[in-house]
Amino acid sequence: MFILSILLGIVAFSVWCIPFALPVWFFNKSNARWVPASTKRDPIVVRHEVATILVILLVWGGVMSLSGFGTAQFSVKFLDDGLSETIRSYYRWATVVGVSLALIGLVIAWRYSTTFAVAGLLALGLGGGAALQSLVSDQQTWEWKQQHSHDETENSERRPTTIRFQLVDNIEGADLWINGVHLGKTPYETTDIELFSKVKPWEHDERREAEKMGGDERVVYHTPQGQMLTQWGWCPLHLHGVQDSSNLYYRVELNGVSGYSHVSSQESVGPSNSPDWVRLMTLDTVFPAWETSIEELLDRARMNNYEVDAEWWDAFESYGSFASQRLNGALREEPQLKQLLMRRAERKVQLDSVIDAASAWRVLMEIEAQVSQAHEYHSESDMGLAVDFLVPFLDEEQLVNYALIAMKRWPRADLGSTMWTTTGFGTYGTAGTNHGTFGGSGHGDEVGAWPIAHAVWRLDQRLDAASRPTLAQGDLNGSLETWIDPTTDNLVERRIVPELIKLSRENSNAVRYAGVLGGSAYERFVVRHNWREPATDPFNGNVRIGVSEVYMNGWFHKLVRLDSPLGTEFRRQQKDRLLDIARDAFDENSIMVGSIPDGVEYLFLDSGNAGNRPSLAMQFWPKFDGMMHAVPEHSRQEALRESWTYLARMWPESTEEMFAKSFADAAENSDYIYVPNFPDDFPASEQFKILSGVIESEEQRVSKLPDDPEEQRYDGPKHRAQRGLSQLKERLFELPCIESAELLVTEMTADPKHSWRGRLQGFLAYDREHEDLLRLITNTGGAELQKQIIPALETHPIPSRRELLRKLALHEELRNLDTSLEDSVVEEARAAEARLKALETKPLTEMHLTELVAPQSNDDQSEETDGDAASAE
Amino acid sequence: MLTLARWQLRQVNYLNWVMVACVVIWSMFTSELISFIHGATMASAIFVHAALIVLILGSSSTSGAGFIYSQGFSRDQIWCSQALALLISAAMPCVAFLLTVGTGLRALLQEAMGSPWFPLLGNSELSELKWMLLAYAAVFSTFGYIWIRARQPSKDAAAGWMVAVAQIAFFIYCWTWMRFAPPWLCNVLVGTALLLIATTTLALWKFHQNVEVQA
Amino acid sequence: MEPVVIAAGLGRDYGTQTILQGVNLSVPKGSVCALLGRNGVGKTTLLKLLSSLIQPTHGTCTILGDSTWPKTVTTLAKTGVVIDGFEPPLVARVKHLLELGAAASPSFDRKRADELLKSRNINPARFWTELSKGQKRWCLLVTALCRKCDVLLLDEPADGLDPQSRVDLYQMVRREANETGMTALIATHIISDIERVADRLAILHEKSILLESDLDTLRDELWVIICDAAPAAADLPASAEVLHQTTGNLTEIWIRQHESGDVPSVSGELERRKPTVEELFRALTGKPSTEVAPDPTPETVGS
Repeated sequence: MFILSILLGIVAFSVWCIPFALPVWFFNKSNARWVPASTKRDPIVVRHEVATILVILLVWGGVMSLSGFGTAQFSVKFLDDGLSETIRSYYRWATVVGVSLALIGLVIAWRYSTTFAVAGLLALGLGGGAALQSLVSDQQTWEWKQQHSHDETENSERRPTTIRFQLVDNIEGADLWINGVHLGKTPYETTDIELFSKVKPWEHDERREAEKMGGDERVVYHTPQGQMLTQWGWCPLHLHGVQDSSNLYYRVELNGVSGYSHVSSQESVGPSNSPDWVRLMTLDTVFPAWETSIEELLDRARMNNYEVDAEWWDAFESYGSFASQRLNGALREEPQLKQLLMRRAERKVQLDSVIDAASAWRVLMEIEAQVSQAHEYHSESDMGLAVDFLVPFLDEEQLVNYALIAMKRWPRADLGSTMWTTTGFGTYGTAGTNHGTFGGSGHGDEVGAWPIAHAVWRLDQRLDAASRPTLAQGDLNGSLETWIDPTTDNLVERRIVPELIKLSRENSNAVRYAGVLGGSAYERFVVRHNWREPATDPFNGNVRIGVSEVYMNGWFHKLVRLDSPLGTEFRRQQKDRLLDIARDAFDENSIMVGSIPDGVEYLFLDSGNAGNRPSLAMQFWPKFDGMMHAVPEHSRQEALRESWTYLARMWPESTEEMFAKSFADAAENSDYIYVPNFPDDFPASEQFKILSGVIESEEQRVSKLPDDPEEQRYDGPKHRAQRGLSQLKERLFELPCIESAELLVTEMTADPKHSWRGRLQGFLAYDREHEDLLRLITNTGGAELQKQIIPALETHPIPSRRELLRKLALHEELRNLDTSLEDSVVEEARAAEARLKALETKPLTEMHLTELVAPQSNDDQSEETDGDAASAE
Repeated sequence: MLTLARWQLRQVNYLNWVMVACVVIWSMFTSELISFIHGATMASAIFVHAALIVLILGSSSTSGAGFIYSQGFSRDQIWCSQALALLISAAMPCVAFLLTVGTGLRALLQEAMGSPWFPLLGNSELSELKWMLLAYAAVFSTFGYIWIRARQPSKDAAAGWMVAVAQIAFFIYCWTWMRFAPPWLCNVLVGTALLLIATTTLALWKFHQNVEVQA
Repeated sequence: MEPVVIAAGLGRDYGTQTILQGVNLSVPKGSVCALLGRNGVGKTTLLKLLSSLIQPTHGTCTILGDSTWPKTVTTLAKTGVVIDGFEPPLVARVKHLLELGAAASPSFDRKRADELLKSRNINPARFWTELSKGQKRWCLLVTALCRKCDVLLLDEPADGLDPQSRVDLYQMVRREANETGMTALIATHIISDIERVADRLAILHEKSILLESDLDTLRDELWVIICDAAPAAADLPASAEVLHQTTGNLTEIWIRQHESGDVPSVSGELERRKPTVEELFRALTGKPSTEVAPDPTPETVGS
């Protein structure tokens, strides 16, 4: 194959030569008719032509070099990191040969003939390029085959594969064991052959024995934030692609402290099939001491109602990326922690200096500068929150004017990845939970455009909220454009959106961003496009609906998503087509996904604002319900989940009866049904209302069911229905709302053997939203229940909970009033309060992790130490 | 000089008017955005028009060229008249574009035809004029060099073709990059293109002083 | 008279082929010089060299004292050129030629040009393509003549012209030469016409000027002597230059007597006569000149 590729290259070269050789031959022949044989070339001609070729080669070669080998921020990279050493050597040689040929070409042009120099360079460049690509392609195929046949190859025939074990955050100095063999300290590098010479695979029993030796306390670890790591003391090590890699288990200790490991992740770095190719095993290990310290710092913040000072931040950031990861993770469950991000933003950009438009503008510019430098921005990050904070202070005209300038400065800015929801615009920045990192190629300082875009979006929201336009009334029988009302456009929609649409000529992201902002210009732009043409494939801007092979015309898709009078009218006019699309989009595959496909969100847009007309969702419900009813029995659970999600999205147009009927249908036709979860953002009080209705309906249904025969005592219809009913009630108690809390406390008070009395502590320990329940139990719960809530009050010491704890511990008045408040409760509460008090008064300097071991991935907080000791205490 | 320029222009006027008609019809009726960077229509039309003009005016091997060179004008006079004729030839479609787009005629017609881009775009497509002129300059200088170089009383006549091939390849390379390159790189590429156009034009003028007329 | 058109050692190669080599020519002011030569001998190339259309490979050419290449605009403006095969493009009208002539030369006589065109029924508004071959040639010649040039270089000017036009053309050239001192170099094949107007003759043969002379002098000095046998070289007078000699039953000897007086009789002489220019041309260019051609060095060929 190698020889063949060389031959192919030569053939390609020859073919490429022809078009360049022909004009040379032709012209020189015709030229010979009249140019005297003795005439030399004019030196000026030579200089000009050589200079021209030189300039072209310099610029062309410069751009290629920058995009290929340098760090220039281009979206196209000539060489990617995954290339093998062999292929890289091809490119290196090609570069050397290319530069040499260019030099030879220049000499030929200078001394002999521009024609032959350029023709030669073009022919060699194109022909050689074709040959090189052929060679590279051939090599890549060969490498792929080699790689995939690796497992089948005998050890002796294999080239050793380098494996590097490292801890998360690249912490150095941790001891690594694999299958009971101490290998060394992290980062530990070995080869697969060497590894298997030291380590023998364990059978299952051997591992179990090893775990017993390690002790149970290592097996399960409850993280301070309420997660339970139920990993083994010896964590499975998945070395994909390495022979005999099954039955490998690892353990990590740092300074004698055992780490608690999750699964390991693996990636390959460096060029494949070369000595530099390394399988990088990142061991995701937690060290409880550090986690505890970080959590204590967060508790300090919670006790202070999330108000923290610079000293706190110094301590917190001493934990490096461990602290950042913890904070980011906790934000999802504890939105109040955003205040910490605000404080961090204050540290970075003097947010507290903002008092007027001028100061706010100064800070926004500072944010833009920092973001441009960091190549990182996310609306949920500290900087994003700072922008949210600034927008009300900003001068609207100034922001809009600057945004227009920014559009000219960064015409092709990505404008961030956006997540669209029916209710607006989810987050701005990168999708996902982590703060987006855009330090790679392709973005450059264009990230600086994002905070501006974010601010404009927020401004648009503010302006919309300030003057929500009345519903425009267009011509029912006339053009759709009559439903567009330019008079309701706000400043952003009037000035920014048209420019964004103009910009979309060279930046397709601009239209998407314009869609987020909305306005008459955008609506007219969309409605005038060809939205009528049906879509059959994923090309030409068509949008895939759900997980099935169903596509929607991109412009049609934009129109049906419009949350405006035009959108409503469009959906009314296109009702039949939309219902057909919805019918095609929902199938068994989409049910398994467990959410409403993005593409059919339009069904729910007009719930509640379509006047007297039922919304599309309501019109489609009978069809949808029928489809869910027809799913096979093994998918009944997923169908119920889908139905409830659908009904929840339709709420309040949907009714409790619809939920109840859906549940009953599923329960009647399935052996076992779990009560589905409601969407996260669905209000708990509404859930209570619905679940109460469903329970009532189920109770009636159960009461009408005949008793199960003896042989079906545990799986008869009535038993199943009662089990479902019991589940529904459990779910009702779990709701974080006052109604649920009152019901639960009442029931527990009335029934000393109530099942929740036994599980209350565990439930509250990890669920942070039950302030009502905690308050009710504190005040009226009785000693047994009060004792159970004390850990929850202590582990999440926000001021309101601390108040409750103090109430239990200190308030004699309460004790006098409530005779049920027993001494044991007071003691436990006092002890808890004392611990919190101790934490509260603990000097922050003692909470620093001054010996953090080389968290190399985090530049700004890392403090290189001698690398062995790591202690939180 | 003007008489001479008119003489030169007369030879390509029919082409210019065809181009003007094409520009007017196209700019009025195309619903696509007029974009030199993102669409090949304008670039292709300019390429053909400019190349034909240079072919007619630039060649010194025709009977007509022999005639004009034997009428008592200096090489510089003839070159200046050619340059003026080329400039006017490039200006004619540009002016047509200016009139249809700049006056809002295109916007009016397109809006009436239901184009999504109008009246939003207004006359902002006028900014394409600079690319049109740049394209004309690029083709004029590059192709002009072919003829001048071929009629230099020296060897290596095909060098004009080769330099043109290299320059055209480079211009296409720049044109491709312009679509997604960062602004600074666009500036570098446009700057280099301008430099090549300027040096080639200068060389054209210089070499034309020694051009031989072989009809 | 001082020469205004001078070629000194002028040569031109096309590729590896030499078209002209060592051409020496000197045309005095106010004279009309006929440039004769066989087809493809390089007459047009010589005119192109003189009119700066192409660059000499060797030697220099001087027009009106200007020996640069290309000639200065002043020189070019005073030089009228009509080269065979060089025509305006199809889209041109006749009047455009006149405008061009006026632009090239401030002294262009538009009135006369109009009259001359009218005399041939040529409407200035007509397109070039609408004219006959003769009309086209007439237009080109009129344009060149009406520029009132100091030097006129014409290449086959009578090609396509009717006899009357040829006569008129040469009369105009002669008149201009006489009245304004214009110098004309006319390359042609039609010797009978040019003989009436030219006062000088240059014969181009085998890449260089074979003969250049004042026409009247040449007529005086040239003799053809017919003998029954070829005379010995010693029998010929020392002042006589044998230009050409034929052999056969009778021998023809073409002699140019440089000194005044008659050529003395030659042994075996049967008859002597004055040849015509056409006879001379045919005699000199009809056979390979290597047989008897004089040394093409300036000393031998020059007048």
